[in-house]
Amino acid sequence: MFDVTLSNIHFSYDHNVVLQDISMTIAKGDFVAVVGPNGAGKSTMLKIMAGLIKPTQGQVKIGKKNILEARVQGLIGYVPQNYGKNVLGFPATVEEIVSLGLTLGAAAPRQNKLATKHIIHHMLELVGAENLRNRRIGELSGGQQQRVMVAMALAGNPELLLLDEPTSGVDYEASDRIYDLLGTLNKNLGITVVMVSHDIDKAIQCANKVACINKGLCFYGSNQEFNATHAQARHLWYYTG
Amino acid sequence: MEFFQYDFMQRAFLAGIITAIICPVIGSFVVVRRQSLIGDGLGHIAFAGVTGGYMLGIYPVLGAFILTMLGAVGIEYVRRKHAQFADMGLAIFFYSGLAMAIIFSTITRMPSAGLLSFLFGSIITVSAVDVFIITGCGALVLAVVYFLFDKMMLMALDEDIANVAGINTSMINMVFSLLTATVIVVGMTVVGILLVSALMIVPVATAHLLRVGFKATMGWAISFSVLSVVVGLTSSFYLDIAPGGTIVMTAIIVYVVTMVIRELIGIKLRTEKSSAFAGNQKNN
Repeated sequence: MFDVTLSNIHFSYDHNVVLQDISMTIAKGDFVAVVGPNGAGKSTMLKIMAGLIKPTQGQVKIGKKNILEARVQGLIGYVPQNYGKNVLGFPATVEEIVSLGLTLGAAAPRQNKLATKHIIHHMLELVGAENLRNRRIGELSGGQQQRVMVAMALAGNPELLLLDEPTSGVDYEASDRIYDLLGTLNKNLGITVVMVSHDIDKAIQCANKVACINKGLCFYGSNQEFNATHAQARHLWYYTG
Repeated sequence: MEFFQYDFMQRAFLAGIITAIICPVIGSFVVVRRQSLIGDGLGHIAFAGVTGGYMLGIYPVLGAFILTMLGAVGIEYVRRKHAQFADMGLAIFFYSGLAMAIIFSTITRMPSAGLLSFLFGSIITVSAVDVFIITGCGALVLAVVYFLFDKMMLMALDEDIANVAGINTSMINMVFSLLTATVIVVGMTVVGILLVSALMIVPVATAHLLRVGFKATMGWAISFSVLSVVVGLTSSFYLDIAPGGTIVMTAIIVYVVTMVIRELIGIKLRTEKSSAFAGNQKNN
């Protein structure tokens, strides 16, 4: 287990500043909700944390390792926002998708068939999708797909789980189930969770820390502190940026 | 099985079945990566390689192999650098291949019989050496796919997830492009440059109709592809028609028949469901 440290992160694209001077430390076992208006740079920050984008300036460290080393060791699980376009029509069963999680991380050993079945069953049980194992991923609802993608990420046994808008395009009830699931995983398995969300109220309920991004870091602290200091202004801030 | 008495037909069947196995194996990934036209792009580059090889006085298939490999590297480079315009890049390679082929064949005045055999396939003229090369290439393709299967499948699902997991996606993408190029050159001998892509895509499209998992889809695609080659070759022997066309037409007929059967089964299931529903309503 480890802390995640972002030091002086800047990111610009075609002379447009997307992120500037973001520094924060995410303690092991934290559940951080990253919130902010559209175009604030939330997803970019998550991609920088995942090592998918190189910051113009600054660095991300996971424990003492730089992000590339951590990736190779399979420490990070990532659930992107736009996987849906690939999943639609993808001819794979839920069981096959989750089994891909076992290959995550270059050093991931090949499991024997029995162990693989057992792990897949356990992961699907964790996310409440054991009854879906033989269904094709493209035939599932958005909420069910999201749970399967989380199960796949968990199969890689990550210590840090990064999720980009996990409830985007998902109905209210399914969205509640996903938040509950992430809260349970964080509490019971001790996985550090960083989740970008547009649903500020729900996100704050299930996370223990809040990071407000609007190019720069506007706020980073506990959800109680956020509620106490930003409760009145947060909706106005959220919609006006 | 009169045709098995002929050595050339035995070689044709062997080369055809190996090609029928490796084409849908690569095709299964090509389809889910939404690169169905890559076979056509590389096929036209292979055509330029054939005519270029003839012009330089080297074995045309070797010329095709070298240029197709270079084309595959180029297509992959453009796909990585300009992801939003990947199809446009592929189209440019496609046209370049065709243009070069026209120029090379005009310069060398390549005999039309030779050109046609590469365009439409010449499986009947496959030599023992060709069979040996096709077997070697087939074994190499299957071995690489076996070892990289999970990683290639994950990358087809979402390349970002694979990247975050520490998988060297650039390397695997390049390997995949080179495998595709190998399959194109091998398939070129069997069904020809113009139809090789069909053998990569059509059996996979048929298998997709069955709505099964990824590995099962690949298994069914191989079965449909082998069936198409066997039926296509046999009918071409008796009807005295070019085998490339009969093989691909068989694959397309299998697709249409599968689709019709699936629709009929769907209609039957829906009718049974509504009858059961009406029966329940009546009883209530």
